[in-house]
Amino acid sequence: MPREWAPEPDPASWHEDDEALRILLALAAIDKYVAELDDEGGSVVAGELCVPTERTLEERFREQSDKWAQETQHLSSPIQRMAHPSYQAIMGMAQENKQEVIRLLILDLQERRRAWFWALSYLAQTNPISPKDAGKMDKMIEAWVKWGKTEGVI
Amino acid sequence: MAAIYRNRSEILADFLRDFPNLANAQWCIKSPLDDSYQCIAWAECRTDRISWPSYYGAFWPQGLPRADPPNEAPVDYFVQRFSLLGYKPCGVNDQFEFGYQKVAIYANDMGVTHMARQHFLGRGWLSKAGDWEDILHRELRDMEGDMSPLAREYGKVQLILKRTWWSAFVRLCLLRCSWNAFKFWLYRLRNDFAT
Repeated sequence: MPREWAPEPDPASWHEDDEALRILLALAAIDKYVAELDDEGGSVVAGELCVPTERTLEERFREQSDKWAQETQHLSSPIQRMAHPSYQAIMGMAQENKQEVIRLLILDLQERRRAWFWALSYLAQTNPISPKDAGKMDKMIEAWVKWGKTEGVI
Repeated sequence: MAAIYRNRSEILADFLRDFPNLANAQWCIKSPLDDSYQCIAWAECRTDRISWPSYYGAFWPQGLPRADPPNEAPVDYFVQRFSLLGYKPCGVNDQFEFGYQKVAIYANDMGVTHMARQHFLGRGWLSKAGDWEDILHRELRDMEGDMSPLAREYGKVQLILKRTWWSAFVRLCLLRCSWNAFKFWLYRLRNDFAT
């Protein structure tokens, strides 16, 4: 019985075959990468690869506080300033480690004079600023730094 | 904090980014950057404190209503505060009236956002934008913006208050304003020499 040979491929489809192969290889590579990510605790969200990061609370705090200061420095209303997503993100960080966030807020207040008074009062459930010093930036910072040292926070 | 003398181009870039109406307005920088006071204190002719109807981190006279976040600070709270300084509401009449000093209250959908004080001789309006420099702008609309709280702008002028020069004089406000004007004149002199 004569051997049946596969039909000669149409030269026009060669390019398509190459393309299909490349797609298969790419899919295999993505599969492999996703498997590796899964092993490392990474994930794929909505088709976007998220590389796992080991960022500390302090690094995330710095990023959000810088963004907050930059985008709200022209505002006077504390309500408008607090409505900023970065402010909310920092308040959310307190659920991870409240004491650490209070420490970072006081240090930021001391070093960069950012007005964290409401956040501090809310998280620490106290207000060390005496009524006669209310509104005086230097005195208010001094009061919170003193409170932080007394309470062993900083 | 010692005042920060920023580069003129940096100041212009910041103001034009956050207050787009200034691009087509006449305005000038009057002071260095200083976070020791903000617009409400500046409307009170003070440069030594932050004023806001809050229980935390700001000055507000005893006995007057206050609102801490998330509650808004309504225009009425500021009318009550400024009535202690001799101001009375005069609608939205922003024209200069000889013998009177005026302040304007800006608000968005969330509440009060800003205040500006009319130049003593009616040359425009003095605004302190948050921690940034004081500026003198010709019209109140130069600092207006979106009414949405998410826009991080000042909204619109809601009310103008006025008082007599005599009322300002007896409260030493004229003295404070003159002293600050002199300090800022020295700043501009120094800044012009530096650039």
